Amino acid sequence: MLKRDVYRIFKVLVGIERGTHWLNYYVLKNLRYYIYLQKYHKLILDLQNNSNTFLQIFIFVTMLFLGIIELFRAFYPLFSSQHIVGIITAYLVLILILILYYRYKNHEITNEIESVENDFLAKISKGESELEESRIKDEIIITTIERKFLNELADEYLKAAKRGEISVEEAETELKNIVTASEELKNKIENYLKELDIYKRDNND
Amino acid sequence: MDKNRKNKEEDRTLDELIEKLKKLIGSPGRKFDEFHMILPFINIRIDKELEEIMKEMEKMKKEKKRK
Repeated sequence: MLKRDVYRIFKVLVGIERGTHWLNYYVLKNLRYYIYLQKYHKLILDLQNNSNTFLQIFIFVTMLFLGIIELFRAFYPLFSSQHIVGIITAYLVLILILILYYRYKNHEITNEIESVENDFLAKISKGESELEESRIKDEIIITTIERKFLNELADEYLKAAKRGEISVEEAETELKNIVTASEELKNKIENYLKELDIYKRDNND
Repeated sequence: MDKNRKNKEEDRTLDELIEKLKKLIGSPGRKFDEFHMILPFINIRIDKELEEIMKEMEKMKKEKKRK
């Protein structure tokens, strides 16, 4: 997992306050599982890469095994060298099976990590898209409130002109500016709505 | 669009409509239709308000000219 992915997770977690509680739960749950998998994977890789440790374990187990055989021979003199060869072969086969199992397990865990990562990142993307959707809705509301505020401002100019505090020409110029600004904001809202439609389509997919 | 619903939205004040719109923010991925339905009412209401202010301004201008 890259740094930017961690940043993305963080961004989604920050978005919890914006109504994505389930996502928070999902992210934390998966993050724990992911960390557990990574730790397990690291342990296996460490053992694989650190041949000294592996060799030490192998020598220790082999010595222990040979010691047990010697003990058997002391108690049972009929224990022939053919038996010993058979037992050592079985031991080596067992070790081989263990190594193969070990490699298989490693492969399995790598796949599991990849699948969790992909699933995880897909959820993060969904969370990001929800945050973006909320942001656009925020912008629409802010712009709408701005338009409402412009109306109030226009009303104030009109009242001021009625009271004679400013000239009618001055008020008219200001009102014209307000109408232009309001139109611009209206177009801005239209553009935001078009952006929002993309998320609507995404959610329907 | 549901006719009853449309009438209901028309009866609301501008502030009420904006408040309703704000409540829809916390519903990502849902209520798109509601969002799209309320917004035109708000825009029409704002446009009408501004239009009326402009009309009054025109009236005032004419009165001033007459004087």
